Amino acid sequence: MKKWITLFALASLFIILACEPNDPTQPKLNIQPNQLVLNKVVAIGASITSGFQSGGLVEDFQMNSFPYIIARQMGKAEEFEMPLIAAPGIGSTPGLGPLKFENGQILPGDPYTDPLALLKNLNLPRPYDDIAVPGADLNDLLNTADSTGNGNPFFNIVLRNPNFGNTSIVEQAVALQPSLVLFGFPGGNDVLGAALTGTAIVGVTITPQADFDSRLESVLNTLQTKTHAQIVMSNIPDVTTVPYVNILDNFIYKPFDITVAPGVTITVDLPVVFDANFQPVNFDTTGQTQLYIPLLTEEGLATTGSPVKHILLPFLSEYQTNGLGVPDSAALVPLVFDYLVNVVGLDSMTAQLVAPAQAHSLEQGMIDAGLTPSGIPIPGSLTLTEDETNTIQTSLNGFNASIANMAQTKGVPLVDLFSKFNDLVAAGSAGMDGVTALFVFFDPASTIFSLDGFHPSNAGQAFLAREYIRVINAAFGLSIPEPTLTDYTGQYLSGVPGGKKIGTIQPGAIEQAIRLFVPRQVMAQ
Amino acid sequence: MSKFTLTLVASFLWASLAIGAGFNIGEFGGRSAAMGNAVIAQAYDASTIFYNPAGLGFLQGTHFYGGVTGIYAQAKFVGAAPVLPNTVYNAKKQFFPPVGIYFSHQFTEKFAAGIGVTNPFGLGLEWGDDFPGRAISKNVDLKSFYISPVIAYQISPNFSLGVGVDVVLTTVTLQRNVIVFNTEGVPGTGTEVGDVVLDGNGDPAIGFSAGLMYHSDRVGVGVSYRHSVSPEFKDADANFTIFSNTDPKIAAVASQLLTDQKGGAKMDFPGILAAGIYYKFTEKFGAEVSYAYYNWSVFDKINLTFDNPDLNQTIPENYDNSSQVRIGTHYEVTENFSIRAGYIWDETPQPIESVSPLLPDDTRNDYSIGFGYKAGKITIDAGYMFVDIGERTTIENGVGKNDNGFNGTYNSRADIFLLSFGYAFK
Repeated sequence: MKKWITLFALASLFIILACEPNDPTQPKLNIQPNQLVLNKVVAIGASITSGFQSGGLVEDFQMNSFPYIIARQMGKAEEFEMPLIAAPGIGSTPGLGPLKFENGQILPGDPYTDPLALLKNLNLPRPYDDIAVPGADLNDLLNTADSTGNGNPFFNIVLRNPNFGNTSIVEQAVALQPSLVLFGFPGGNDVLGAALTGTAIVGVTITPQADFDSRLESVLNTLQTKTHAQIVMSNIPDVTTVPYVNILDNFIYKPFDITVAPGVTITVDLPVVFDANFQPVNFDTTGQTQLYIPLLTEEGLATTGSPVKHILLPFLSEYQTNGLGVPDSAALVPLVFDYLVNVVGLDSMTAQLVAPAQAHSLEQGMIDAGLTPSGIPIPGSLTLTEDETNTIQTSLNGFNASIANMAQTKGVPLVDLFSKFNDLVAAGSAGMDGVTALFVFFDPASTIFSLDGFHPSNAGQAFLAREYIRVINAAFGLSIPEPTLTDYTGQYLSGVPGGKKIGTIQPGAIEQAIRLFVPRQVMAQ
Repeated sequence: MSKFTLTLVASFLWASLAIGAGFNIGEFGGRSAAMGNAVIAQAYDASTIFYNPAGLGFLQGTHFYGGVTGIYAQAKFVGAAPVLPNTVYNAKKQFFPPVGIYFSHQFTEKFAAGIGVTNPFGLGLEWGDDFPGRAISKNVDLKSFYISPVIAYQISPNFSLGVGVDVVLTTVTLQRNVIVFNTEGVPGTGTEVGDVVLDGNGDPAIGFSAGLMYHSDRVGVGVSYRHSVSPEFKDADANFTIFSNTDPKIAAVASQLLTDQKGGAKMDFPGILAAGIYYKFTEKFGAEVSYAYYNWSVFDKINLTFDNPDLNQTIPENYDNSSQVRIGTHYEVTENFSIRAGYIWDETPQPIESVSPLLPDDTRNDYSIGFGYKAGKITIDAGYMFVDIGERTTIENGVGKNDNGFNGTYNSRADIFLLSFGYAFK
């Protein structure tokens, strides 16, 4: 018996030491490795990335944001969670929703009383997948956790701190551990505010280049070191070619000869008094020549040394209602004097005597034409001079150069929206692929811009989504279907009964819509 | 040949991998195990208390039976491509040394009673800290103790009936890593912040068993039934640890949510209906074939509850009823010495969706051999069973089926060694 037990013990020991299950064979899922990048998609950025349009954010717009369109094209719309806001939506100005377009007029948004009651999807137990906060700049992406001190309710709405540990946009993106990050318009709000406020000062309304570079680098480094995510980012389109800035550019500028020094005359384009169809008014009564009346502006060649190049959208309603920028008879005297001397051929003394009366009758002519000669110059906050435009574009180009450089060195696929957008603007009313860059007054059917003149409309978001998808497909060897842009057009047709016509804007509406995007330093002043 | 020559080791096998499909443990005696547990129709020793209480009706005198079992369990895992790398992870090799005991006593000619302590359901599986499924299960240790008093009545010299009560005590430890901010259904998302250990003792659950056994000189027929029980853990301790390398802001959120607290769990163990036929071909050689049916469909989920209901979790299991076929043979070499061999085909109740790091099961082929020695009142039995669980994958036609989205292939085996001792008082 003993030997049997011993044998048993030895055999047991042998089995324990020598027997092991074989390594199992690795099974394969029907997933191509390159599809793994689509496992978990997160979007970071600011207003455009959140779906903000027409000065506000609401569920309808959010479901037409480019990240959501991209998720839908990937077949992942159901898992893509957003901080949905019920109608009427939350606008830039507390208590009002986004702008409306009715009967050809842009109107302020509908009121709401309790913003908290509008928040759907509030109890999602993790950060949202679209973590974009309207109004956020690069510094905010890295460091801002809530709405304290910045007057921007969207930080609270999107980030929901302190429930999420007082984490910023980037920190919440890291916590989700995405496989793909859509980074929209990095640094857009670091330069946009200058265009919106007509004030281009590096360090006040424009982030200095060095700060932009270090913050962008920090965002990309954080995502690349703390997650395994691929990043796809865009550059920044030229913010001076959006309707908010350029709406009047192609219509109301006429060349004038200005004597800048004794014997030195230059020809400069100046904005002139115009009619309801945005056409310059010719006040010449002789029928032989043209008399255009330049608008009064605070900024300009004579005052700030640089001619006005753009007049901003909020000016329109003030012009239509109050005659902002329309000279009165006193302001018209010098113009009339020049006209009498150079065109009519009077001598200076006669011209000097006659000018006031002529100016008065010219003023009467403007009143008869339905204009309001207020004599109030357009303030600098509503104009961009050539110098200011150059400052903006220099900074913008510097930002885009950094974006291109970092995209290259860090292996981040780049969506060149700067070029694409320039192409679309250059295409004018013909547009591209069924959309145009015209303002709603000129193209309510297929404009890529919403009512505030710089955020994209549904068609604009679809345009962005398509460009991102093209880059994603090329970079990762995928075949995500592109959205059809014409599926997203027609958004404003109901606002123009009877067809296209140039519309009007209720005074204050545009100012209300851009409040969130005025740089804090400017707000403080 | 005496009916009670051979004694079985009542092994409390804690490890499910080896023991029965699902987490059933069926090996309670050196002889029984050696014979592939095909002992429904035979009553050799007090361990019949577990296999078929009616067998007690044929067991004369007073018996003790007890022994030592060693279960050596091993498991490996490789994740599915392309989501997981081609790396094989080994579960910690575990050795479970359960014990089990039986006493029986014949009070009158026709009436006998006994008590046994068995462990028919148990589970133990621990993975390393780097195991990719660690947020599903890192360590599980389930032990169930069935304390079974049984009485049996000999209706006629050939026919016996037995009934018993089971008092079931269970302990469970579940440990897994905790991930916050994950996206449901998408593995690899969210932030791993720490781990949770849930430790509990179940409230005693009551079940019952019953059986019939018929025997003649050459033939034995038996039917036995053990009813399902549902142990409930009401006052379990849930202890959370936040890992020190967690991002401080996320750790702050996690610490608020994951505070040490009380928790609870509920699960359902199946009932077993078994029937067997034994035939003594010659004086020296006999064999039994038996069939067992487990109503595992009662095990549809494990409910975990916490003081903070946000942490509550329901783990779907959706087990299917399953079958087991056992064949056991013995050969009496001499009057004192016999050898045995057996085979079990053990169908897994676990559907593909539930194959997980908690318990990766598969239909098993178990092969057993053993021997026994009897001298006077003493019997010694030794047995070995190889439980060949084999490979089980969560992928079907290239599609991952696991409920948590954690897909791959497991390969497991268990080696069971049994040594038992019996004493017949009269």
